[in-house]
Amino acid sequence: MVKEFPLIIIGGGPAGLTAGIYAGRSQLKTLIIAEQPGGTIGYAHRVQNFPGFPEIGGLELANRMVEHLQKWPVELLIARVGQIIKKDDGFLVTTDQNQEYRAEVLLLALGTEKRKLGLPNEDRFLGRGLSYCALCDGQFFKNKTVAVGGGGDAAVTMALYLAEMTNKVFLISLQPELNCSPSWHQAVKNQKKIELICDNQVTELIGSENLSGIRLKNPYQQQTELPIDGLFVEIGSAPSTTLTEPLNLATDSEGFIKIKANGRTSQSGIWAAGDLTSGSNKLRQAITAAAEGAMAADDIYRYFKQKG
Amino acid sequence: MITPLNNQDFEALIKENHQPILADFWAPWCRPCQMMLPVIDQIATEYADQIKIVKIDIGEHEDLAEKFNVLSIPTFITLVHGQEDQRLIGQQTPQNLKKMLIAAIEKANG
Repeated sequence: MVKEFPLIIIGGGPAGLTAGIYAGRSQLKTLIIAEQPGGTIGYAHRVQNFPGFPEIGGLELANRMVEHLQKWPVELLIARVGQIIKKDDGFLVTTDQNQEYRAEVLLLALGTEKRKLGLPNEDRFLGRGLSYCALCDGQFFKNKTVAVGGGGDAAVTMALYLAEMTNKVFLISLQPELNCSPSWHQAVKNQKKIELICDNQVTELIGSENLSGIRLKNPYQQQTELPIDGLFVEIGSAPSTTLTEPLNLATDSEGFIKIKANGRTSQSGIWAAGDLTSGSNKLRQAITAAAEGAMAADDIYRYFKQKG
Repeated sequence: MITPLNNQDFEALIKENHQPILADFWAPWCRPCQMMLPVIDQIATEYADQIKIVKIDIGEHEDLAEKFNVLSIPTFITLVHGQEDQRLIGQQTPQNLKKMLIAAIEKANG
């Protein structure tokens, strides 16, 4: 038998979990389907901009959000959603394990996926010196030389984390200067192990079995080839469109779902919140995702109240 | 059955065991590794009689990580008759892992 819910939230990061907390407080029977409860904030080395926590590990913050949700009667299913089908009376949501659920309305809080470099041999070197997760793989590069590709907050915190265990970190930014908050910029300046290479990019991955170097677009110290043991990539993220494309939601030019201030999308019965929307003026932080989740859940509650 | 690798010699474990082995290289601080825990539990139950699952904490067994050239976690390696058969790197769907296990079981029964 297909289980039915007035509201199904797809995604369990700060947006989905906050929406779940609000829905629980509103006594709205809700199911959250999340592949990763806590979401990608769990990969952040340090978080310094979530009120109430002057400095907290990303994983700890994610776990605390999940614990907070669990104080409310909201069902949390750990699964990957395989398909969303629009029906006359709502939506049919199917997981990749073929479990089926019906919802009157949906809140999409799927987050984004990390961007890759787009180089031909990227898959071959994954796990052979190329990584997208410094917290997972940094330990393999103790006392070695690594590079981080990217120049935003996430890339900079990744470089700072890696500097704690490696001999040297090249931080390679596409922009003429880092695109991070001034406090992180200062932290990079203070960390002598980090060597900043701006206005440059990785154009080739070099190595036989494992990665042994990278080629840069512009020469750095007269060389375009930089010998390294590991490359960590943090060049932003993009919304995953596999699930949302069939729903014909209006998006901006980069594929982020357009929402109104109350989280409503262009399709009736579908709200969206968090990093996959254009609602945070491109800030896309845990705090903005949580705020969007709260506003969407509140509007969904008002929708059901009005409906009676 | 999931066996955490404690102080046993991995080589001895391979020799003594005639089933294919799924070596799960992980660490407690690794988020994707934690996400894989329920999947590994499910697979351990489903393939209890056909495969041995060995969890290798890379913090405690750096030597094994180096020996198997593991530079990212989670990494899943199937061993058939003591030899590496296939490996998957990163968070996996149950379907992906099962495909790799079935290939190892078929090869072992060859």
